[in-house]
Amino acid sequence: MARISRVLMTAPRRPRSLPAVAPAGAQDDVLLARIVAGDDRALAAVYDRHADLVFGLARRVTRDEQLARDITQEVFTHLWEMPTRVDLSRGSLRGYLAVLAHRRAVDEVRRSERRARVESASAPRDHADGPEQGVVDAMTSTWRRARLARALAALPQEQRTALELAYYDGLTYRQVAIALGVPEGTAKSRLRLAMHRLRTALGDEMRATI
Amino acid sequence: MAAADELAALLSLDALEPLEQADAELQLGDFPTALRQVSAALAERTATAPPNGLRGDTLALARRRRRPGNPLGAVAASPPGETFARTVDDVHDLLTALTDDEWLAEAHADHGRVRTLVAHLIGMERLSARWLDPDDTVPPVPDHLSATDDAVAELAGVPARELADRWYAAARKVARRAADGDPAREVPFHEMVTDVAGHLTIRTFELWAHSTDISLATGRATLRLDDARMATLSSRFLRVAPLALLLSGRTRPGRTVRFVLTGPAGGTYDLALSPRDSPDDPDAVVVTDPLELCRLAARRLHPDDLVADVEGDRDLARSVLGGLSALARD
Repeated sequence: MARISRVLMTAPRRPRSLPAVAPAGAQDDVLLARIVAGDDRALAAVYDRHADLVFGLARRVTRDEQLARDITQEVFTHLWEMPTRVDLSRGSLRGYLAVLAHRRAVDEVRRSERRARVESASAPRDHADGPEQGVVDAMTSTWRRARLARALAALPQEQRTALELAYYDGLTYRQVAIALGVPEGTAKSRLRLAMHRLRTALGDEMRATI
Repeated sequence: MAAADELAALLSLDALEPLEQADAELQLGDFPTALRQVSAALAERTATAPPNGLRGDTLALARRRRRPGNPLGAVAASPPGETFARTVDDVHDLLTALTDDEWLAEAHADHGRVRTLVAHLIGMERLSARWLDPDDTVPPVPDHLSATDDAVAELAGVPARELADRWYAAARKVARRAADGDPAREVPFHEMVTDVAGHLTIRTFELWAHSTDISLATGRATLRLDDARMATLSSRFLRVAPLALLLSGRTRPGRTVRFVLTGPAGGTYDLALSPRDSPDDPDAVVVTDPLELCRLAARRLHPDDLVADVEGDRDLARSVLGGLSALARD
């Protein structure tokens, strides 16, 4: 006679470790549903797919390896704790993580070294710098990367410079104005126009894939 | 309009002063999706391979903050006794709504018409009540179908509506008897032995499955168990699933399949593919809905028709899914 009660004693327990290989095909919505259900393997899969973006962005904005590590941990832990905050109708999971990582990185910069960074950003810069050394090809297709590069290159120089100071260096529009020696209104206007042009240049199709 | 556009653009770049940002978020709620996507696109330029060790540190921190396997927003599973009693009430509602013609509808390949199926259930309630009585020595009744032959024959001439009342009384007696005595006592169910909770769970599965048979036969809406009951059935089923694999000859010692059940009745369960094993790192992950899993377990869904995402060893997952209905008794 089989005894169910004995089976109960060896019923499911939690995994000891996570595999290193991410699943290739799972969609964002499935991964999020798995995270909501408590599947830490899904979180590992999300990390494997998007940690390059989160870490790279955090390091670029903070210019600090340790801060970037901390931010990376916080971003993925935030997702694990509050996955229902992700609204896939507003963009992909990758896009959500990018926005979150940028916000955290900017907060960190402003909290820890605000004044110093304004001075540093005022120094002469190579505004045409491209991706950092060691950048991995995280984009799902080369045409998308090329299109982004073309869209950025097509921006008027003063708009691109303002955009890079704001987005990649984490400066406020006021700090951008100081760095460029222009009125605050001009800095604001350049940032608005840059975003408007990028929005148009990238198009709905490409933006939807990010 | 330009001012609003400007505010949205600056917000999407995190380029507002901190106090202004808080005001902007209050004013705009959030910036437009298109700007959010542009902002995310800009991030692609910076993608960089993360340092070694960060993956492990990140996942370890996450697991400390929220225990794996712990679903968010999930309902609490209802106690098995309550699950059974409420399902009895639902099935009674269904039976009392049936017309005379519907009682004669063909509902089941083995049990035939609705009235015969209900007579079978009356026989099962009688048997359950005896199994739940620790002082009653019930002779072995390994076969589920023939176990109720006497009851079916005895009730052949009873009017349909009286059958409904008799079944309801018998099922409520089962619920009462289950509530008395030691809940950990051993309770038979044909060739198996379980405890009171396990017995009631198996019986709830049976009632739910047969109510589905009756609903489909009469063109009525099928009984939809609430999330609390669905959580009870799915979680308790997965605890005993290794036994189903044993009965179906599909044990795989040393292998583990993870079941991720989504939705309010969901959760994450690692299933060792042998009753003697403890779960290890999953060889496959099956992501599905608790309802789908329960339909499969109750033999009301073919494994090939299960709506699920499978990751990892698909052959292993397929084998496991093919054996999960071995505990179902019709």
